[in-house]
Amino acid sequence: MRHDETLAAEMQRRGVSRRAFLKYASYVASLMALPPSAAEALAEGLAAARRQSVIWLSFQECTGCTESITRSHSPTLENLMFDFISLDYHHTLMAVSGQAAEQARLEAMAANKGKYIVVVDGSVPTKDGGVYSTIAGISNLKMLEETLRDAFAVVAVGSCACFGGIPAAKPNPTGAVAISELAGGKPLINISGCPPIPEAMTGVLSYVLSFGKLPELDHLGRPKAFFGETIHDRCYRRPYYERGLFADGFDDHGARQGYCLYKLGCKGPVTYNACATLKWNGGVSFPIQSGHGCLGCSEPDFWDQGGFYRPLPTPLGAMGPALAGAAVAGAALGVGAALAARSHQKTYLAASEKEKD
Amino acid sequence: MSLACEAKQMLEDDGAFVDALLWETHARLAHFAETGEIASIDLGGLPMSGRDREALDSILGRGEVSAAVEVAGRSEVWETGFSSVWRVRHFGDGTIAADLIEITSCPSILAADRRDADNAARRLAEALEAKLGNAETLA
Repeated sequence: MRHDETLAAEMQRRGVSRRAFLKYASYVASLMALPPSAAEALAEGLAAARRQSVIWLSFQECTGCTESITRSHSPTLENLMFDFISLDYHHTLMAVSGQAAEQARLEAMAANKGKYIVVVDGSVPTKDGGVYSTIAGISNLKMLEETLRDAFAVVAVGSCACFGGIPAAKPNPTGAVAISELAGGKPLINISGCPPIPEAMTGVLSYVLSFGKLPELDHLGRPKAFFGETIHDRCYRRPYYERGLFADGFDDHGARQGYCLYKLGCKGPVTYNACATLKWNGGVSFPIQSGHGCLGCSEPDFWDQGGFYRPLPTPLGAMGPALAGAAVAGAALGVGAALAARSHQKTYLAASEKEKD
Repeated sequence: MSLACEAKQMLEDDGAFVDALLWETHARLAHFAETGEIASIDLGGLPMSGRDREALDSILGRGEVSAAVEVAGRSEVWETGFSSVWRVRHFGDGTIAADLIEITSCPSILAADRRDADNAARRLAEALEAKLGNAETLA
């Protein structure tokens, strides 16, 4: 693996022209809603960059995030991302194991001091000195601290790394915490989701590699390009919500007609993610298109928010009992619903907190 | 019209959106004609249905040039029936990865980069030397 030559030189050596960079840049610019004119700057940045050393740490996780990124829907194009980075450590994917694997991590850290990116999936147990999850006899807590010391930035992928996720769900027996609590001031990007959308992961890494800086982030440290709008904002069933047309059961007339799944517990109005536009499985579908409400998996503490099938509290301005009110409000609020989404999320979170107490 | 029909109609309605897109294309084309400033419209993030795309491409039509680029998957490029308005569609693994309208003399994905020429010249020289070597061996 040669870290000294530019990506352009490396690709040229393999007989791939600069068109590959242009194409990839167009793809990333489109994904991240950058102005199309940014594609050329992105391509130039990528071509001039050196292969980015990436150390991927997997802690309290299920490997779903790795499954997601390795099953991106455009393998030919997405594979380019894996040509642009040097995945120097990923204990699930790497060929070596044991001491040799840990040696690879230490060597990558020494060779790329101050320049490598740490990607983390999974939360970190902190209770009892972090004994509940270890790799090669090293606690996750210690490994993160050691690896972050000379890193350029850290990318937390998946809701466990971003917010604690399922390991941190009540009663959180291992004292699991999000990476943000342990990042020690390192630049941090959260790419939440259970799992995150693969294009969000590759898009963000490409952006950082090309421009050498973090993309614009929201208040939870997530890239706005992918987390700037709610699922509800871009849901194709939204016109039914606007008119108060809801499915009341998973097999009723409304469900068969494809009506809004709000009353069946859909968390789309309070969930920021790009599932409704990028979709899953090669752009084939996403949960709502398959007839199931959004679980809200990219939001903090989604596991403890009172049940996947419990409808959200009544939107602002609604009257009467929650469900009937929601239906009426859906019809009455019209386009104001999107503006209300943020406040609605606060109401929802406040209600959930109250319930917990 | 019932609420359900109205909502369904709203889901299927495609005319207004395509018209707006075509007017934007017109404005950018006129600006390009006047100033030479190139422009690009990314269709990726727009809420377009398959029917929208068909309607758009039906109106734009096909012009004098069409090309396929094979790099990291296939890309299709064609000039529309309106000179300087191009459609550029990049595919990943058979699915559309990026879909653009470009207003320019020639989309940059078609042009060879001069920085690739140096490598190409070296490879051509090697091929010629190998050919010469083969000929001498045969002689």
